[in-house]
Amino acid sequence: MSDDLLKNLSEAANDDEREWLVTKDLLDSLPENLQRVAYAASIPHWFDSKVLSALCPDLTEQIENLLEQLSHLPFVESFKDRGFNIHEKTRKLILDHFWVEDQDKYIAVSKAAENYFDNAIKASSEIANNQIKKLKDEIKEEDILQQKIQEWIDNNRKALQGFDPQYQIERIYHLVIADPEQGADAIWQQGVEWHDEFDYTYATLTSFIKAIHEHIDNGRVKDRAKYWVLYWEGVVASKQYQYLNAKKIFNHLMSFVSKDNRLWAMANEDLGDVHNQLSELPEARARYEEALPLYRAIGEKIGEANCIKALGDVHNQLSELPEARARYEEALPLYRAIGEKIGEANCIKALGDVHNQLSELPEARARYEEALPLYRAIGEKIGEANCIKALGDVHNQLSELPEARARYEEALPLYRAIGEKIGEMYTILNLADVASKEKKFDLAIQLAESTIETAKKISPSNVASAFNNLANIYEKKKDYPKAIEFYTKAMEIFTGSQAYMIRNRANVYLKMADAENAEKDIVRAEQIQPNNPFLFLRKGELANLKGNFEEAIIFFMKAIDIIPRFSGAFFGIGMSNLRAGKIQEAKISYQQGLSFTDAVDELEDTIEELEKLKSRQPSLLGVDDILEMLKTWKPDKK
Amino acid sequence: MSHHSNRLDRDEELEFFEKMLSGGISDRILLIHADGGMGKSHLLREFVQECQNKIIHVAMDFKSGGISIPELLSRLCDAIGWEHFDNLSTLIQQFNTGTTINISENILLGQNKIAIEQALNAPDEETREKQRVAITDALFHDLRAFPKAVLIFDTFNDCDPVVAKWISGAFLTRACHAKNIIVVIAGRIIPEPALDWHGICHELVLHGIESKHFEEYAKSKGIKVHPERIRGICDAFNGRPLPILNQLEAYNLQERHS
Repeated sequence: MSDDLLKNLSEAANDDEREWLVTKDLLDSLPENLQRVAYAASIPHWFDSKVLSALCPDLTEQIENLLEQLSHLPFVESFKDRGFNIHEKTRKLILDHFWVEDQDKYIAVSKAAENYFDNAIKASSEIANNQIKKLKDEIKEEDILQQKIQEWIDNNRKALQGFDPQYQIERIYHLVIADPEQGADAIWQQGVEWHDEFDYTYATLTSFIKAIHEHIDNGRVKDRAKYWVLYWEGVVASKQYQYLNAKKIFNHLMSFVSKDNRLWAMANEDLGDVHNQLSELPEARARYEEALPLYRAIGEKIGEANCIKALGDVHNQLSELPEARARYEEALPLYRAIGEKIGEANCIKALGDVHNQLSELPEARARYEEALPLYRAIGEKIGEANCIKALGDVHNQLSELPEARARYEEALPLYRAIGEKIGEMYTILNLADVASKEKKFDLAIQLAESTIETAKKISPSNVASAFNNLANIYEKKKDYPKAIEFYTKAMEIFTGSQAYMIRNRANVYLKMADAENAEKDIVRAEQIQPNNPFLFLRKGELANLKGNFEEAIIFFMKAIDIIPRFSGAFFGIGMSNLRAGKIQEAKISYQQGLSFTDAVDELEDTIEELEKLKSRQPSLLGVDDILEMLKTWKPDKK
Repeated sequence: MSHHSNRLDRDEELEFFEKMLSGGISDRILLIHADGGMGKSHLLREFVQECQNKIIHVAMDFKSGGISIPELLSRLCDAIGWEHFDNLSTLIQQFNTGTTINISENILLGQNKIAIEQALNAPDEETREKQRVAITDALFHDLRAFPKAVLIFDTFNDCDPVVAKWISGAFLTRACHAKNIIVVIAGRIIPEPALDWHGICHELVLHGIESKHFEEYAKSKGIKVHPERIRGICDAFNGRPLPILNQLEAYNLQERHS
């Protein structure tokens, strides 16, 4: 070898090949036992005499001596608190050749390594359990007990090293080679444990993924184990808000075929969540629908319930309210059956939200009141705050403004205590809405403007939402140019699919009798959310503005199909009939609308519209009677 | 060869570090960039040696994996002694008011690491970032009390992405303003110098070592190899120490066994 070395080095195809020539020469020059130990020592990421003994049990008696010799070789480095390691570059070369040239031996050493780390973990666990049990028997006072346990831990670090997550990573790193199927299961289970860390950095899971990737990148691990690593990579990207990257990883995973229903169910569900975050609702729905039968096939109730609930959320966002309700009602008993309180509470709250959107306010209130103690019982502060805020929303819609304000003021410190900026921001916007209903417009504007800075720190969509709410106040103040200015600003900030902002601006254009601009916005909103009840309401109002009364009634009816208690749509039909000279039909429609009205202030716009009509067409019959009916109406407090 | 026996030539780099320690130059952040096998970890061990018994120092190697911000802070404070970190401890306590840590259920982490993890726990990224910044401020407030302190990080390329971002951002920005702090970061990848600290940062690329130093090394070890041969090997690897030393060791063993 030596004589030909320079020639071989110059003829080597690349740096790796060149480096292997000298590494191999050194390995071949080692005495037989030292050579065996050097190859075995390359398998783990670090080693000491105990690790080496486990990997080469027949050399146990000489292992200290062999370790001493090994530690003086140039490619061996010291590894803080754990002994030594083979230099990263040399290790990679040795492992690549070891795998190709003697795979059986590689697997056998990996098996021994897995066994060693498994035993180390178990030993630490046993030592700790025994000692803690002993201390618990001796010390009854909790503070002193914790202090004594800490002292014992500090003095026994070495014996407890099996608790270091790196030991578990190392164990699974070897297990995927020793037994790929068990290894794949271990990647799944360990990921479940580590994907939820206190500080949201996912350092342990990232380190775990990186370690197993070493095998994947060198072709030593394939199929299920590889897919589970990809899955957790996608989860980490998603948890770190890198949704586009997460989508790319999950889609890459989906390009493989596996019979692991659990993996496929979880991957589809998580990809669904990513699509949801990216407002790609049809894609999200498709993924949840794909995941659902897979969860059912493996009998994973929680996954099944979560998928059904997620499908409900998609329907909800698409304003498909009956379908959303059906999904929530389907998920609820599943959560109850498995005692999953948070899922149960979330479903009840979501059902309340559907009722709320359908203007079924007593039912909404009942659901929120049912969910609230559940959240409190499990200490879920955000759920508790959301429920209180939602109860405030019900009061707000009923124009019970002091009660609404009290609820919002109850929710606000809860959001602040847990640092929930989004909840805090929307509660302040709700307080602004209450102030605007009380005609305290300066206060309302001041409150809404105060949320913009907070929103900027959250996301552009929240900034847009703050401007949208500010525009709503100007709309109520009847300062339509200002309202249009802020709706436009909101749309410029968030160019995603926020159809409600576009519909809101269309509403202002309609009030200004600007049919051309209203129509442009309606067309644009329709492209994003074609089946929204408020879209049909605006389409009906536009048709009325253009004098197309029959067409208008068709649109209003479509809105009522979705929200049967949609008072605004009934008033729209009333206006179509009135202007078409059908006075009796008009009166019936207004009466129907009133039967679904919750508060006097809901009638403000309708009365104003009728008064404008009266001043334009003083001879039109029926207007005065209907105005009288609306102005004297009082809500049924039952 | 050098004023240190049994090592290859890195005098220039060591001299630079000594100047940093003595304040002979204004640079206080040293970034060492080198490919694998170039001898950077060896050089860092010499830096640590240089600090030994003279200057407060902490060396951390990211090759062990899984070092999160709480783990890094806890190791750093463990190494120097928590009694020197009053501001940091107080802030952690403040963030953790109302929470309790059950040690018996969290043996693996250690009380201090759990406390830092809990202190950095918040439901949204903005609050977490604020808490990370506050904790970094408190850390440097405490570190300023030392006449001089050296923080050495090795294998930065294996650093967790969140930790890497924190080191490149909040951490080095504070280090830049703490005039008693010297930071050395080495790896195949190093942080991109930022606007606020690039003025006091020196980037060092470790190059290959000249053949004559390997010839001297072989001679000192009693390895009989013709200098021509060493030059040939050195050329083949552009002076990168690891493969050259591997080959010299192979010659050493072959000679002993022949």
